Amino acid sequence: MPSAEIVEKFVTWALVILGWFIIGRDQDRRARRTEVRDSLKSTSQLIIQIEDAAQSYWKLTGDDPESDAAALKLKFSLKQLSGEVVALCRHDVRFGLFIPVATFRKAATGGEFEVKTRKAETRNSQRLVDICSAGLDLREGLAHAFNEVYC
Amino acid sequence: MKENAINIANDFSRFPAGRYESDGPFNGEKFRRKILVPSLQDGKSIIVELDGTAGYGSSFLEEAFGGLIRVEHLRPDVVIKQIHLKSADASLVEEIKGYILSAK
Repeated sequence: MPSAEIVEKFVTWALVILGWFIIGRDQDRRARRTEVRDSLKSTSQLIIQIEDAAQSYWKLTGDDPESDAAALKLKFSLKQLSGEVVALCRHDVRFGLFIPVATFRKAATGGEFEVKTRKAETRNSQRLVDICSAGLDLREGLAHAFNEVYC
Repeated sequence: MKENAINIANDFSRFPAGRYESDGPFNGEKFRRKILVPSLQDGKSIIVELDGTAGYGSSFLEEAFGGLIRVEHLRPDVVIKQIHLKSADASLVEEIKGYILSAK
């Protein structure tokens, strides 16, 4: 039969180990939270950049000499955005906002995108409003997912 | 080209762009007519690998895949069964499925 002293020491050490475990877990969680928050900030900035690039693109005519380069840059940025959302999804599936990403891409590069005969969009056209709206939905969706996961 | 598998970057272009033939050499209409439609003949199933390009415009995707229903008059349920889309980017797969199922 272990003496009361041995039991007391065992309980003390068990509590110490449990404390280390809890502190370690909290530190990991805080570090992951910071990492995801930073990623999210960078992704949100990328969404805003894409919105701006898309607005500029659609204000050009389809045969404008700058149109092809602007379109290629826009597609590449959207590909980068998809990659960032896939990376966020590895932290938690709630970041997997693939339908809002597709909606944003559709708004930015759908319809007559890369069509040579396309006319320039006028300021406040429905296309430009849709791009802003889809970008906002995606940013809000990501922020909502972060709150659900970490707050 | 491997049988029953299309890798867009290798078999078509790393820079797919545009909707119609008049929009450039690697447009959605050309991809549909020259690559997709012949591959789907005889009810064969195909794997379409989307990764490896410099990105896609939705206009290219809609013309290529939505055009199978809208222009080639294939049945959406048949096309969905025949084409297996493969990509690390799930948003691309979702978008293309949407074009196939909603095209009229």
